[in-house]
Amino acid sequence: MIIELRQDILVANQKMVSVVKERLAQEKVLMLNIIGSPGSGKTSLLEATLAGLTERFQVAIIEADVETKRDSERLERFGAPLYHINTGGMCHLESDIILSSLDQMDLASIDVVIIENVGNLICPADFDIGEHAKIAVSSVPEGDDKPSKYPVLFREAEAVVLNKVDLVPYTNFNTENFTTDLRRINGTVPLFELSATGGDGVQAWLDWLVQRIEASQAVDVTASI
Amino acid sequence: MHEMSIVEHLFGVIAEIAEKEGLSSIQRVEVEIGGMRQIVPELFQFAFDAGKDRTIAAGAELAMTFVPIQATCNVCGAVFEVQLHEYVCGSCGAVDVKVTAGKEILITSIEGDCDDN
Repeated sequence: MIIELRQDILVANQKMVSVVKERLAQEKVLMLNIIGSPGSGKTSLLEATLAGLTERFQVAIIEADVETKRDSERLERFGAPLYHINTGGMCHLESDIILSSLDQMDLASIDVVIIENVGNLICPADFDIGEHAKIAVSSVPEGDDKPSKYPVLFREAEAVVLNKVDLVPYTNFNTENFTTDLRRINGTVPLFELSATGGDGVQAWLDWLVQRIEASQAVDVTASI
Repeated sequence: MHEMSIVEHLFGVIAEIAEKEGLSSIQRVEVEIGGMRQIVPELFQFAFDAGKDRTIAAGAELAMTFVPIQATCNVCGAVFEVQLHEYVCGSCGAVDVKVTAGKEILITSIEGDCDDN
C-alpha cells in the first residue's frame, strides 16, 4: 500500500518548539539565538552584551559547545544565570535541549535568554529552537564573502553583527562587498558593525536589544500564544 | 552534517506512521525538501542508507524532490523564484520580500506492506 501524506519530518522538534514558545510567552521572556563561526566572537559579544544589560535587565545565558566549559567560565564573572550544554559532537542545538535548560530557570525573574549556539554557519540555521530571533555573527578576519557563502543564515537572521571591525585596516576585508552581498540576501536586516572587545559600535547593538526586550514585555500574553 | 540529524528525525516519523498504519516492511519513502534547507542530496542519501538497516525502513528506497525558493515582493506584489539566494524582486528591484516556499522538509509518501499481507 502507498500512504500519501504531507508531514513535517522535524515534527518532534517542532512540538518542543511550541512548548518553548508558550513558556517564554507566559513570562514575557525574549529568547535570542546567536549563530556564527568558531572564533567569530560570539562569546566576546555576550561579554559586551552582559556588561551593557545586566544593570537594567535580568539576562540568562545558554552556552552550547561541542566540548569544554571555557565559554561559560568566561561569562561567570557577570553573575547572570548560566546554563551550559556540551553537545558532544552534535553540530547544532535542537528544541528539546533548550526546553531542559528552560526547565532549570526561574523564568518569571528573567527578561531575556541569550543562546550561544555551536560555532557553525549551516546546521544551527536549519533548526528552530523556539527563539524569537536568530542573530548572525560574522567577523572581519573570516572575510567579506560570508553572507554569499552561507546565505540561509543571513536570510533567516533578524539582526547581523559584523564583529572585529577594528581589524579592517589590517586585512583585505571590503565592508562594501559585505554589505552589498548581505543586502541582496536580506535587504531589511539591521547590521551592527562593532568591535565587541574594543567597544566601537556596541551601543547601537545594545540599543536594538533593549528595544526588542521592551517590545516583548509590552506584548499582550494572551494574544501571543 | 545536519543531514544526519534530519534523517534520524525521518526514521522516527517513518516508525510512527508504520505503527499507526500497521506496516511490517517499507519499500519506498518520498520526501520533499525546500531550497532553504541546505540539504546536500548525496549526504542525505548516504545518511539514509547508512542508518536504515536498523529501522523498519531497512531495504527501502529514498526519493527526494527539491522545492525551489519562492518569494512575494512586499512592494509590488510580484511572485518570483529566488535564484542563487538573491532575495531581490525581479520586477521592481525591492529587497523587502517574503519567502513563501522553500522551507519544506516533508515526508510525502510511504510505500509498504501490511502485517497481514
